[in-house]
Amino acid sequence: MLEAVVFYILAAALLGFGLLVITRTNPIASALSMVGAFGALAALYALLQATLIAIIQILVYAGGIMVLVIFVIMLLNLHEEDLKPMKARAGTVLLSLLAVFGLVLGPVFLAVFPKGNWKWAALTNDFGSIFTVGEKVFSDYLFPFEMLSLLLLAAIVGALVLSKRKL
Amino acid sequence: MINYLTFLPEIILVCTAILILVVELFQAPSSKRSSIRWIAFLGTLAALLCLSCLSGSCPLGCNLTDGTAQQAFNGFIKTDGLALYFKMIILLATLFTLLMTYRHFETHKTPYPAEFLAILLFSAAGASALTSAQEIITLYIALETLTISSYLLASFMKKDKGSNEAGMKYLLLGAFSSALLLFGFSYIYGLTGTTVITEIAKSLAMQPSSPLAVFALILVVGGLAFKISLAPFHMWTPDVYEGAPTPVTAFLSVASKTAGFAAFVRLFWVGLNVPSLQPIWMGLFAVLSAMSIILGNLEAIPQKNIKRLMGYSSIAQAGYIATGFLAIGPMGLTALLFYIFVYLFANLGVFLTIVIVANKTGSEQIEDYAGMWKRSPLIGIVLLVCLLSLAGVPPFAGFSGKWYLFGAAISKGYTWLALIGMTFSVVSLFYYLQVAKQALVVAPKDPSPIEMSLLERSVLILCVVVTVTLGVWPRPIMDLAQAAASSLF
Repeated sequence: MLEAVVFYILAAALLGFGLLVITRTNPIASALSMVGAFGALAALYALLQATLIAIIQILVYAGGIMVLVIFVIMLLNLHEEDLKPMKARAGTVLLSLLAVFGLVLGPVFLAVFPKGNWKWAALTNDFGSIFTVGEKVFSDYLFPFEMLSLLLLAAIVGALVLSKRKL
Repeated sequence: MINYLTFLPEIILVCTAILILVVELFQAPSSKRSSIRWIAFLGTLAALLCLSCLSGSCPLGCNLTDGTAQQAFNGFIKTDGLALYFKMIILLATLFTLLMTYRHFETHKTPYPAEFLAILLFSAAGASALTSAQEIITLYIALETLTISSYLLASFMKKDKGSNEAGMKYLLLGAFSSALLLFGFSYIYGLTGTTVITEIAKSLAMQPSSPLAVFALILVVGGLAFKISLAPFHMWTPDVYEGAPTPVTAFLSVASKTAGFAAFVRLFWVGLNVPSLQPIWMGLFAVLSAMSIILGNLEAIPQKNIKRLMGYSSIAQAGYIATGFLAIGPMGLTALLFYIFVYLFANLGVFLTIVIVANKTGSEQIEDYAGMWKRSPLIGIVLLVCLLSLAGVPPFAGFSGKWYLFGAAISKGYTWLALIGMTFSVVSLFYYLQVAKQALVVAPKDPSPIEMSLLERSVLILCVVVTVTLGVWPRPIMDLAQAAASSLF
């Protein structure tokens, strides 16, 4: 009961912040609403006892990514006249809604109201805990984990080359 | 204890890349930086040679293994014969690309040659790791290493509008397709509870078919088809191929596609090859393959720019290779592997001439190939032989390659697809011969000869020799491909 109440409060907050992100004309206001949305989402994860994901959501998205977004907004140095409200065309809105429903929500509905007798794979008790994930990452999944550092190195070198005027 | 032999080629490539970055720091800004070129070349060559040591049948007798598949991390990565074959193609393509790079950067100056080479080797390492991946997270991250490096390589000429456009388009569409792929993977994981491809197959075979599995399957096909530019996911190809630096285009057209097909074979032939899903993805692939062959060939006809033409041609070629992919079994896989080898030499031969010609004339327009025969007989021969091989004209290797591919497809009941393939191979002759006609028949506007280095000359001769030899005597590579295919069946 209490869980349901908390869920609906968080879900409402998430939707509200989400709407604020796309309706504000001031990009900083949008960005800050996005922090709120990320926070509500993290709380939802925590409600599902996915603690690690909740922490990562806060650290990476609400922390790191948002700092980047705000940095970019400031670097762009937009003026009042650049920030006119965007006219939404009904067709565009309808199409994007259709795309979202088809791609994301469709399967979610299928998953929530299943037809046929298939089911999701069973979870172990400690699924997604920091301990299990850490153990997996540094044993079985060590190779992709190390590969990520390679990917980041390539991306850093490339970003430097592409962005720097003189090296 | 980790078995480092499993990913020895990747280790060599990555160490070489990092060495290049470090060595460049100690070079005077005015130096010609030939040392880093040598490091890159030797490093890739070493990785290529170590493949033969890993295969257990090294001609020099320096065997690191007894020929069994090497594995590490509970079999999460396993370097079997199939992976070694794919790695061989990718590393050969990288060597070709390096050779083109050295020539290309003579006229297209970049202040960052070391970074270019390092990123190229990173992406080769990603492609190479992809071929041994036995589980979807490794597969995805290796694929991302390959594609993110490719975005950077495509936009490397940052003062050049075309290169910028290529990089941007590739990045936006590529990121979208990667997201689709990952989304599909997440559903597969949710349904099966495992990321290991063989376990996925077991788990999917035990449960009743679900709409979600079909949905995941479509997402994965879409995401990966983008990477190998199968129609209708091919929109980026012509623009990126035209705008990117030519060596990068060459790398994308062979190494990226090879890695994509490696992922396809592992994921679909092993992981999703269950009775409830197989007919669905087979149907999807048949359509994609037919569309690629038809659209790629038709759209190539009006092209004026040779890189754009090769872009459309590569779409059609991906379609041909996909017909072999449909013939699940040793025969189809052997044909696919053989054709990729043939495609490598024919395609890269053409790209090497594009680089050499553009270096002299500064043009990539087909009309500027007029009279190439007079200006450099070798280039004329390479264009003729390689393009005819791509079109599948006997006695060149492309013919035997297509023979095996379509034969495998027919044996599995895809006669209509083989017929489309053959019909449009004839159509493709039209635009391939257009280039050859310019080079061989039309009189040159500027008769000055085109010079090339000894190495380039010998590589071009090698392309011609391989293409002609495999056309009349495909046995050696067929044996190699058969041995590689047998590791999956």
